[in-house]
Amino acid sequence: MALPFTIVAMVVVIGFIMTMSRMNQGVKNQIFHTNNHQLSFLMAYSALSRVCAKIHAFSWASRPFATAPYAENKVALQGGHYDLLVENSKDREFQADVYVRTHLAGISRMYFWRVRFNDDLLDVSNQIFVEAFLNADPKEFPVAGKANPFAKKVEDLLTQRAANQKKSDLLAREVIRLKKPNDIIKELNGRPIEAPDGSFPPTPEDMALVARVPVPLPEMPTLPGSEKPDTAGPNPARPPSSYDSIVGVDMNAKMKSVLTSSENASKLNDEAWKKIEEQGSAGIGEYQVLADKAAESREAAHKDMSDLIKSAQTGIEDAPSTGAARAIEEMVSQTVVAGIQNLSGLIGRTMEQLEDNAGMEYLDSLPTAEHVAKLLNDWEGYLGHLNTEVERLNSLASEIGSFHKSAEVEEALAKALQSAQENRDKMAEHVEATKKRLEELIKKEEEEADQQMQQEQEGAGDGA
Amino acid sequence: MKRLNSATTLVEVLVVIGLIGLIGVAGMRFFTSVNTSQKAFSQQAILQMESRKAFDQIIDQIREGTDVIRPATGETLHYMVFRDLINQVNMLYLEPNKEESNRLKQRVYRLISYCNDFSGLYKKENEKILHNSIKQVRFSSLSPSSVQVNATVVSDKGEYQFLAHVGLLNVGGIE
Repeated sequence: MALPFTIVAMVVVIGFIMTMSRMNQGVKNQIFHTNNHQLSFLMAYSALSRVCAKIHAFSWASRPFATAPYAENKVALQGGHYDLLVENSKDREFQADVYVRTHLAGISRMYFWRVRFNDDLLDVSNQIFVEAFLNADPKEFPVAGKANPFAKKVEDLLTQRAANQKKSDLLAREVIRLKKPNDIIKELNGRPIEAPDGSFPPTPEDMALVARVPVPLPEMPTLPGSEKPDTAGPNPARPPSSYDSIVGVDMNAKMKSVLTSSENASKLNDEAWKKIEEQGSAGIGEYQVLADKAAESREAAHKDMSDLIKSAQTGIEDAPSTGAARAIEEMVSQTVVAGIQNLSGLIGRTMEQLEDNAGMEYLDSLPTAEHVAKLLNDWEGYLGHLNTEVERLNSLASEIGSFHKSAEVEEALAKALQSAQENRDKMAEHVEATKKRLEELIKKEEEEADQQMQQEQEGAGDGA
Repeated sequence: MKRLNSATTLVEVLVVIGLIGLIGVAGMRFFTSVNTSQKAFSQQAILQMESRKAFDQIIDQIREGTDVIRPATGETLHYMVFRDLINQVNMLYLEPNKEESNRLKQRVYRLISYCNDFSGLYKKENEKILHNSIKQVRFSSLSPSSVQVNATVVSDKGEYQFLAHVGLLNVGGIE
């Protein structure tokens, strides 16, 4: 008897809870949809702000859309997502068209901004102006690389704006003088405003129609607690990704990379030689591991320097002024010279170590031609590497040859190249000396062999 | 004795039915009360949505403007004059709405937008009714490129007050 009652009671309670929950969800959805318009605009404005921030961060010359339109699709934000397309405004320098299409709770909207970049080094806080803002049909969102009728529409509107400027200024000047709304609407060729009838007590709005009266500030009643949404609504916002996908030509990162890789090469090379100093021939294994890593860093430094120079050349071509171009040249040449100094220093220290551990004294101590031949083989290999390395450093120097450099940087570059060349010459001398020593030893060993053979023959004759 | 213990007495059945009835009545009353308040709340939400929809259009129109002509900076008025994207002078103003006032038994206004296209003539297509039952509206200018809009919308479902700070986004001409 009790079981059916219990089941009925449970069904009633569950039904009640489900109904209440659905009703609450319905109200939440209504409130969320009410905010859709404002949230969509804020999403689009966030996208625009990101674009503006990137222009500031990279400079106009290195903007992410410098050579081709920049597009992003389905970027998640605030429970919805947006599509972004940024491109240079056609035939207008220092201007960009930003298209943002938002999708939120099943509703799509499109916003357009044409921004102008004002290259003013003295006023960095006020560099981007909105030339045109428009709400548009999401279907008009352009596709990168295809004809864009919307841009033509914007051009027409801006032409119309310029044509109306003078008339608008004159009319605005007249309107500012007038105080009554009816006088203003008359000036604008509008229909006269109907006068209020006497059915209701006059309100401040009624009074304002006929005379200029002080307007009291509005009073806002406190919102009832129940109207304040306490949840994020349907599709709760996903936290934004920390990964920033808009990337331009980040010259700072490239310069940092040059310094890091060249300094690493130098540091690893020093550590490798330290193993030999500390452990002698027992440290050869550890030396080899570190020397290989140093060689990898050296190659990375060469690649980073070439990349940096290439990017700088593009940046210099697109630079908004000669001053900006000169600033890029100075920054880049200073960094490349620092990289060359590090690699040249690496060669110098390697040569010092070679001379200390396997220099002329070591050469003289080698007893046989076979030992010297082995040393010659090693040194000829290193000389070949030095020839290539000096050539590469000279090539980098000539690539930045036309870049503007301060006197100190010029001097540092000349010293670094000279040092590398001197070390290369020193190695060539060592190779020559080794060859000479090898010839001497071969000759000596041949003479000794002849002498020994003669003695043996004489001994054999005496015996006979 | 054994028979009596195994069966349910009439009194027990009546007690159980009585209890279920009491709980059912209390539950139904609670449900009706919640349903009524939910309906009122839902109606408020509908009013909000309708009003917000109308004001979203107004905000879009103001956002596409270039600069505020009236109210001057620091001034609060019942109307607003501003220039749009193509430099046409627009005015947002109130006009008494007699029919709606009689229906709602209080003074309400239409919010109208009129745009001067420099033709020198009144054109009906340049006049738009943005909302039919506004109780009050205030435009406060905080800068030449921003305005605070405060309006109270009335309907038979109640009143809804709206406040928004709107920035005019076509400011390329102002440096």
